[in-house]
Amino acid sequence: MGSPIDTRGIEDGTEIYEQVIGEEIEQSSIYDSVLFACFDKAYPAIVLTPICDIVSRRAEYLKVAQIIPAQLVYEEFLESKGVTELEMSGVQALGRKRALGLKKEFTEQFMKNRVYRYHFLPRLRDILADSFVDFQIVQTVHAENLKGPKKLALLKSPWRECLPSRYAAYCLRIGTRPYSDKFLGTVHDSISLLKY
Amino acid sequence: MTTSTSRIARDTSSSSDFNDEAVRKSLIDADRKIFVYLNNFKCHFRGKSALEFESNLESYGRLSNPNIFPAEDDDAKRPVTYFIDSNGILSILTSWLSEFGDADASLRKAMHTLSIPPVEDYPTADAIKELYESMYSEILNIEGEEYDAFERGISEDYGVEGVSVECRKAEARHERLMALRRQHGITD
Repeated sequence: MGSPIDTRGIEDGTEIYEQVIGEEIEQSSIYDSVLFACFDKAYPAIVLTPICDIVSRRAEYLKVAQIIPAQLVYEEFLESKGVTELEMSGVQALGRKRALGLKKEFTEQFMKNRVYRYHFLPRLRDILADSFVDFQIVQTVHAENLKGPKKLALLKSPWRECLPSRYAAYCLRIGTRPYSDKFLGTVHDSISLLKY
Repeated sequence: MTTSTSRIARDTSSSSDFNDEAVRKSLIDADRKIFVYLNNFKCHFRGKSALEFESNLESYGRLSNPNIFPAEDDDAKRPVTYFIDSNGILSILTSWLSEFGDADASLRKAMHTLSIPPVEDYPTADAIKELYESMYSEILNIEGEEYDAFERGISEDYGVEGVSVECRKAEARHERLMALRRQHGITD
């Protein structure tokens, strides 16, 4: 049974991205080419700095995160799963069931934003390919440096607010020692009424 | 079934696949039987085929060896999982078995000479597939919802980082993939 929610606007991007964008810098503005010092190379980027800091010009330097084509992330994922380059390229068959398993795992984990580090940005016509924001690759740039790159798109609310929220979640993680499976099993058995 | 119960069923399926002792035992027995069968036949292959066969047999043997994965071991599910979804072993096995299933008289005679048990005593390729599929189907038919037997589901916790993409390396690999496609005449 299909979802009762109309997803057309999400899937064609019209509900996610502003149709008319000005030149001004805003939170969640997407630029085609920002120099990332760690790579010494320019990549697409998205602005993370809150709009209040930008409008009031309190932030002279703005925080941007790198945008990576989803295809590159997927290929890295496939490599991590032991898929060979011949298989990745489609030259050698992978096997339908294995391919479907990988597809499901990637869509569930990455495209549904379960992995903290990445934030999925669906394609916008021929303007932006399916991409991920990488919250690990973040830097500050002077506002003047965003006047050169082309502004490609701008996220609409609530996607605009969702982005810094997810970035905050990524930054504010606190690791704790994991519970053992045995302990969790004991807890489960103490709360479960299931008979099996 | 509500979404939440469906979710629970799926998430716990991988750990409960092989909890049933009888099913687990039958899977181990099937693995063992197939391994012995293939091991008996390996002398028939020559050259590249022999190497390929040996390599796959070694992988399969390592994973299905009851001494390494005894039936009572909690990890006993691993041979079957690997058997199905790793290294294309299933397709190679089934192709060999199909070949032997159609073996001509001279091959049957050779097998007899080598004291190899007759092929009829062993499961055919289709029977092996059916065996696994029926077992999976039985195990994974949860609350009437069909679960793909070969789908591993969300079996891995990616935590917070997921995979790490180093752009230059990823771009270089992508270029290699595109070159491979062109080299093999794939243009779309």
